[in-house]
Amino acid sequence: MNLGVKLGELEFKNPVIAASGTFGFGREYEQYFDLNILGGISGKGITPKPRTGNPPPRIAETPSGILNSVGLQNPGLKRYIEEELLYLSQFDIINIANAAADTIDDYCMMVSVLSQEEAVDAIELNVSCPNVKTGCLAFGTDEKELDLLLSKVRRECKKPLIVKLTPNTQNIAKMAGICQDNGADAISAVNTFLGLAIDISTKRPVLKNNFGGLSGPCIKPIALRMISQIYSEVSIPIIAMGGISNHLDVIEYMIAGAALCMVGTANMRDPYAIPGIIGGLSDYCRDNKIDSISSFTGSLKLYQGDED
Amino acid sequence: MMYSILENKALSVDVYMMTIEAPAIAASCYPGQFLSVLVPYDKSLLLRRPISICDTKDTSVTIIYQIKGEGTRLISTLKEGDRADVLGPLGVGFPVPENKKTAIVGGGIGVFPLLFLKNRLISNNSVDCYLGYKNKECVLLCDEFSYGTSNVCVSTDDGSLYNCGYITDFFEKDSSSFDIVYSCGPKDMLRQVKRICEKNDTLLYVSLEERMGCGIGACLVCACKTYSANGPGFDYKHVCKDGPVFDSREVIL
Repeated sequence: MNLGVKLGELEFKNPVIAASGTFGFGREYEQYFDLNILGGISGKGITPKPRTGNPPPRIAETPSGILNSVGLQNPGLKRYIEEELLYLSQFDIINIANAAADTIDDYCMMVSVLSQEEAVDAIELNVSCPNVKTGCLAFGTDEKELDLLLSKVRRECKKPLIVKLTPNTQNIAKMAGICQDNGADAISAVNTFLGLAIDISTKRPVLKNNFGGLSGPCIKPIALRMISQIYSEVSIPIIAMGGISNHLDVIEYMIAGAALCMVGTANMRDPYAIPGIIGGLSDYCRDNKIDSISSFTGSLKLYQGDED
Repeated sequence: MMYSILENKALSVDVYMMTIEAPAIAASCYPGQFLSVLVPYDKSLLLRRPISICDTKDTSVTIIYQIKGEGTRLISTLKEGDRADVLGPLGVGFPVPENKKTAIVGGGIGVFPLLFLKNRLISNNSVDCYLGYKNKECVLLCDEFSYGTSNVCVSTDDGSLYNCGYITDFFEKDSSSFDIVYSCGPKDMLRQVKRICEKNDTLLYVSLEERMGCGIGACLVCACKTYSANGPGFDYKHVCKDGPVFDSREVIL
């Protein structure tokens, strides 16, 4: 029974990766479980300079979900390299650096610098965060911008390149195609959906930033459909995320086409969520005599017509 | 982690007191810290509710919470013998010194975590208490503050019980005589206490509140504005991990 998954040259011990933004750089979870059990981690999104982020409130609870508008608060590239990378390098897990920027030049700079770091195993390009007012939204929702960005970034990027797509777009499968055409090594999808919550006693949004990103179990059906559509469009591997709360969700996403999964919002409810999921996958594969978990990937059989 | 509930009783129409059997938490927690409680029975309410620790006894821990919405309402339906899913103790609490003349200034439900602080302070410090409530229906726990303290001043905004007026006005009259002040309550009240303590150049610790996510410092949603460590401008620290208790000089209220 083998939980291991290969993505190009990268070898994940299991398909579970801690999603960017919900897990910091791992430190806060160390007291809850041994971080070495993780297949991988995608750290908090890093920008060229430190960012303070949006004013609070930055979170609203919604039915089976949350809206967040953190606004990419992060220590900046320099401190990430000097402090966080050193910390992360002690663990035997795939370390994905999530990078965001305002301009193509800055994306290229980030990717070029991160490509020099031994402790970075892969770079996840954040073109999809809906909370940043300046520019970040544009790349992930505009075919021409995305194409131009990726053509330049691919040249600078010496590490496996994962592009994290936003679902706030007309045709996510088409965007995935653009990523493949530009030589991306993998797609990660989906980021959060743009949403709103209102406090009826004040007639104001709950979030100080007004709109925010929706995540959690409520988005799973939509995210799952998007993964299936992306899988029909591209042949590069897909890392899926969107409301995963247990091992059955992981299997569902893998059947839809995912090679690996990321778990985010679930950690906020239960710091033991990821160990529970990894354990659950192990038990499931053992009980159902699954030799290799990778065999689930893309095994969905869509109905074509009238067949049973 | 799951803990047995020893008691979960109503103190008033919308305020409940829950005691859980939690020896490890009781042994390690200190005033100002909080517990993160999972909402039972309804998985669609994803987030844990952060509730301040109000007291400990040997192996048990007590929290007091107000019913604000469906989550806290469901928590209030848990019975003695049920189990509560709780994370904690979390956060940075109040520092407890020795041989100081201290004052506690609490407003409304902000009074509850200050009880734990009072119980620890009285061992080696003099403690004066100032407790303010909106009206007599909100008045809770002020008798407990009498034990071990030099003086307890209670007021209601509308004068329906005890003194009439804002508690900060009563505190201000005595404010120059304290070494350290501790405060918890509505933000407007904290602003007044901060103004008064700045006037007297008195050390002040405040307990802040902000909507939380993970509660353990990873997701960064519970931001509170602080003066920048280097240079002008501001930064955001986080209530669950850097707080809830802050030196008032650090925070921009």
